[in-house]
Amino acid sequence: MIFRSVALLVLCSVTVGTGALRAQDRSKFVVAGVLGFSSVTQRTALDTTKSSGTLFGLEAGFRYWRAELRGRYSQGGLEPNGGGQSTDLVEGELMLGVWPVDMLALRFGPRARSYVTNAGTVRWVFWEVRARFEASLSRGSSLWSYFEAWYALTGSVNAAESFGNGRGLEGGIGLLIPSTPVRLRLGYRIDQGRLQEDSRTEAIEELILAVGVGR
Amino acid sequence: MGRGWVLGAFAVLLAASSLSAQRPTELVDRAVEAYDDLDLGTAAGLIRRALAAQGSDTLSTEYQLRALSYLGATEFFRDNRDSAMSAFRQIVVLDPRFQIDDLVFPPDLTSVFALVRRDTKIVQAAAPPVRSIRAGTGRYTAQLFASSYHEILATLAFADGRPLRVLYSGLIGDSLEIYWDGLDSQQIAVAAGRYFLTIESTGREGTVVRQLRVPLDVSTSFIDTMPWPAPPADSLFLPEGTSGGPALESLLAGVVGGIAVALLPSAVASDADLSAGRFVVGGAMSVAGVIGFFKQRGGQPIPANITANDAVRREWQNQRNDVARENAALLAEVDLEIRAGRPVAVDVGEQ
Repeated sequence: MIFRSVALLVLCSVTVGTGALRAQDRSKFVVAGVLGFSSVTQRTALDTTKSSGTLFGLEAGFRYWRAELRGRYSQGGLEPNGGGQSTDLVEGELMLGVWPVDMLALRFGPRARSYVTNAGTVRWVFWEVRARFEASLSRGSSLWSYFEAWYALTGSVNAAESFGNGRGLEGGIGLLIPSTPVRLRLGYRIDQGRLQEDSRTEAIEELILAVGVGR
Repeated sequence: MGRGWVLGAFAVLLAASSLSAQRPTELVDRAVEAYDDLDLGTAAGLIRRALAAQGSDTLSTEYQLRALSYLGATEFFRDNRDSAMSAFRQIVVLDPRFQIDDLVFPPDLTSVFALVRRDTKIVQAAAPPVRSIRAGTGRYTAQLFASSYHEILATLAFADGRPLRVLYSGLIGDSLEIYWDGLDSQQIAVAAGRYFLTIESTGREGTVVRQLRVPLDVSTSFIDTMPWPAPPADSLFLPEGTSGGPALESLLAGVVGGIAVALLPSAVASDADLSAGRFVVGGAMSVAGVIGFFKQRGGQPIPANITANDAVRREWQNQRNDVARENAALLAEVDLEIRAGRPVAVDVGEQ
């Protein structure tokens, strides 16, 4: 039922977007390296654990007309703030989106997150719907800001408890260096996954620096 | 009584016959007969009467030339040399190319005529009565015939005598062809009106002795010119200064986005102990929005748009210049209809 709703939403967005499409700049491609300074807060009924670390990743996006496909992958190590065994964090996502108007994108797709320890791997999978706003801050779009919020329509986790919900947001600014295809981005992201009955929550906060190229 | 009627009728016939003999051409014919009979006094008198005829009885040029030839010969043989030369001079003025018949007149007479012809500087013009030409490219040609070798000045002049353009200045031998292209001395097509083709003959002393004036009535018809290009529509111009709209959008996008990034994370993850990174990014977004606002606020010049608008204006100006050039060329291409009147020779100096 949820998938049908999302499919209908995407279809409507494509229809609206097609009506407003313009011929120029029909295809865009961006690829960027991402450096994330992450902080993870894991809370259970018994305790709260905080860890932090640096993630390295790669993201790429392709846009044609008002349709878009983008993916992201990052991984890194997290060190518990109170000391203890380190954890590897691996994240990946693949989103399909549409831009019904120039400032707004609607996206849908899966995002997976894994915590890898010696004891095993905890894997979260979120099926998310996202809304992203982008606005130019200067003429010619060389400087822009963005804000993106998402909500997990469904998900799964390989734990004793079942998946509860997930949500998050990201905001930041981007700069296209004049006369070059080089793009810089500074962003902040917060994301939280929750198991049912609040038995466990995991929140990832990340300060993002990205350097990419694209047209 | 019957005899009286017959005598009356005879008298009327005699009178009619006498009147008929008074016609100038017959006077000339009778003068030639008198000349052949060596009745020189009668011949001279008859010729002068014939030449004095006015109105519809005026002798044709051909008869005038014949009469003057015999008048010159008559006076020559009556030892009135000046009168003879005067008659011959009139011949030359009438027709500079005329030659008296050397089969009729003796060599000493023809040599006197040749002398007069040599000393009488005059040209005759044969101009087409009606001719249409295109100013600048067409040619209105007139043929000039000279009495003798001498210097002439051919000009086109206004009706009041002011010179408009010199067509020829130099020597003429037997004949010469001059032409006019319909332009004045500034190479501009003349306006419609009356002009004169004036040929001045210069004597041996270097002074103008005679002037021939050919009236030319010129009518013009211009070719349609191209319309001026319409100025560029306002829709083609980009705004050369910033309006307030984009500036406000930038401010809102930066500040509202920054506030959202700073405040909303606590709503997303209320349990988390959030870092100050959100304030850094939120602050950067707000500052960027404020910078964007001031960079795009109304009245700021937009160089790219100014350049683009200048190109539009230049393009229009170039089109206007092209049209102006083409119109100038079209206006120069004026069709002229030239009607020549009867030439008039005027003595202006002593020979």
